[in-house]
Amino acid sequence: MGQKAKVLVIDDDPDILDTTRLLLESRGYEVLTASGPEEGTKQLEEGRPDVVVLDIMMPHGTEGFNWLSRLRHHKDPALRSIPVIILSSIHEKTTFRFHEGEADETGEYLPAQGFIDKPIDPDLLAAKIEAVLNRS
Amino acid sequence: MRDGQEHGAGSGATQPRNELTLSEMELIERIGWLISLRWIAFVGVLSTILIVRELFTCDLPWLKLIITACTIPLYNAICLYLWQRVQRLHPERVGRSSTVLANVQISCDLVVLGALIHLSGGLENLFGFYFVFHTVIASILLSKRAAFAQATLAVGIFWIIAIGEYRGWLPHYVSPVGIRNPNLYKDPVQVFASCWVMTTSLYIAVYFATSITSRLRKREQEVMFLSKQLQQTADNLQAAYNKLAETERIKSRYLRKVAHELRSPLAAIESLLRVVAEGLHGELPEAVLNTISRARARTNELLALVRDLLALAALKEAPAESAARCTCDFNAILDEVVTLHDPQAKSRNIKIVTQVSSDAPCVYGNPEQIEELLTNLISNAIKYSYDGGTVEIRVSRSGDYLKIEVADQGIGIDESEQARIFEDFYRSKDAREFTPEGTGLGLSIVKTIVDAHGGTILVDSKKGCGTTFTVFLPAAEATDNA
Repeated sequence: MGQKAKVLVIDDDPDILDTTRLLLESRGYEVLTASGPEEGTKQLEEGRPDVVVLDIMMPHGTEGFNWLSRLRHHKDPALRSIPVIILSSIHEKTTFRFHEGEADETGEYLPAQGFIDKPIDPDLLAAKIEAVLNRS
Repeated sequence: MRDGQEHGAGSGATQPRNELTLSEMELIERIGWLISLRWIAFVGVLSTILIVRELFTCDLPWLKLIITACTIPLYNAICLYLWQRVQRLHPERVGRSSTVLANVQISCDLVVLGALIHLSGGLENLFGFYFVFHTVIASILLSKRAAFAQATLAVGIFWIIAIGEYRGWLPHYVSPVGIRNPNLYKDPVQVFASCWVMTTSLYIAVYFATSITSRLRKREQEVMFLSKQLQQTADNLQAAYNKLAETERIKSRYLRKVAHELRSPLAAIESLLRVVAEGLHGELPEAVLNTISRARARTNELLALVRDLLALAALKEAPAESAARCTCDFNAILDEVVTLHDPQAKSRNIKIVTQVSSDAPCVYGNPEQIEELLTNLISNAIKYSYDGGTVEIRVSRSGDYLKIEVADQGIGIDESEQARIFEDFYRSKDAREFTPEGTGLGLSIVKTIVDAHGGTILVDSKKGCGTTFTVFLPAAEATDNA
C-alpha cells in the first residue's frame, strides 16, 4: 500500500488522544488530533483528513453526536461525506444502533461508518480505517 | 334510600352519596323488566276477558272490565316515559327515582288487579291469589317496609271488595269460572275466612321473601366489600412493585454511570500500557515487558468486568421487554458468534460443532440481545472446556419454541451450586479454580435476556463431565399475532 491515510482523532481524554496518535503513527498513518468539538472542526477544515475517529462522550455530554450531526450538514460536500469511526466506551451492543453502511437520512441509525470500543486495539482500528476508506 | 340502614348493616361498608346501593342497582335493572312484563300482562288480561266473554254466557260488566284492563298500558306508558326522562335528564336521581317508580307501579298493579277481581266475581274469583305474586315481587325489589306497605294495600283492597260486596256497598258480579257458588259473597263465615287466608298468605309471603332477600343482599354487600378490599390490596401491591421496579432502575442507572466512569480511565491505562509494550517509547528489558504484560492482563480483567456490568445495567435499566424486537435470523447470528469465537477455541484445540435442524424456526426478539446471549453461552462453554474438547451447539424446533443447546465436555458444575449460577457475580468454586478469567455476570446477562424474551433456560451438568445449557426462545410465527 502506498501513501497511508490522514486520520483526525477527536477525544477529550489526552491519554487516549496521545496513545491513539502514537499507535496509528507507528502503523504509518498521518494523525491530526483535537481535544474537543471546536478544535475538531478547525482541524477538519484546515487539515482535510481522509477519515475521522470520533469520541462520543466529552465533558459536556454526548457532544460527539452533535459534532457528527453538524458534519453531515457541513457546507463543503467533500467534508460532509467524510467517513467517521466512532470511538467510545459506550458499548455498541447495549446502547445505540450504528449504521455500518452509508449515512442514513432517516436518522434512525447514527450516520457513522464504523464503531470501535475503547480501549483501542490499534490493529482493529487500522483495519476499520482501511475498510471505510476502501468503501468510500 | 329508605332501606339503607338494613342493607348496609353488618358489612361496615358505607355508600358515598352519589354511589348506588346494591338494591338500587338491581332495581334500576328491574324497572325496565317490570315495564316489559306489564305489556305482556295487558295482552294476557285483555285476551282472557275476550275469551271468557266468547266461551261463557254470563252477565259480567264487559265494558268496565275492558276499560279497567286498558288502564294498564296507560299507566305503563306514563311510567316508561318518566323512567326514560329521569335516565336522560337526571342520571344522578336514577337511584331514588327507581324506588319511587317501582312503588307506584306495584301500587297501580294492585289497584287494577283489585278492580278486575271485583268486576269478575269478587271472592269467587280465584285470580285473587295473583295478589301474592305482586307482594312477592315487591318483597324482592323494595325495602322491607315498602313491601309490608304494599301487602297492606293488597289486603285492604281485598277486604274492601269482600266487605263491600257482603254489605251491598259494591255490586256483586257472578263469576263464570272459579268457585261456582253465587252466594259465597253473602256468607259471613266464608267472607271472613277468605279475607283471613288472603291476609295471612300475603303477610307470610312478604315476611319470607323479604327475610331471604335481605340476607342475600347482606351477603352480596359483604362480597362486594371484600372484593373492594381485595382490589385495594392488589392496587397497593402494584404500587409497591412499581416503586421497587423504579428503585431497581435507579440502581441500574447509577451502576451504569459508575461503570462508565470506570471504563474510561481503564481504557486509557490499557492504551498507555500498549504504547509502552509495543516499544513506541523505545526498547525495554524483558522483565519490564513481562510486568507490563501482567498489568495489561489485570486491566483487561477489570475491563471485562466493567463491560459485563454495563451490559447487565443497561438490560435492567431499560427493561429488555421494551427493546426493539423483530424476526431474527437466528442462524446468521449464531454463525457470526461462532466465527468470532473460533480463534479462541482453536488456540486450545477445542472443536466447535454446530447442528442446525432444518425445521429450526426464526426467533422474535432483539438481535443484539440474542447475540449477547449466544456470546456468553459459547464463550463459557469454551472457557470451561478441557483442551482438545468439543463444544456442540444444537438448534432445533420444540413446539412453538426454538431450542438451543450449548453442550461442552468441560469441568461441569457441582449439583449443589447449580441453583446459584444465574446469580450476579456468582462463580462456582471449580470455575474459579479452573480459570481466574470470568466476572460471574455472564449467566446473569443470559438469564435476564431469556426472561425478557419470555423464554426458559435449563442447565444439565455433571461435575467433571460437562455442562449443557438448553434455551427455549419463542418462535417468530408463534408471536406473530402478539
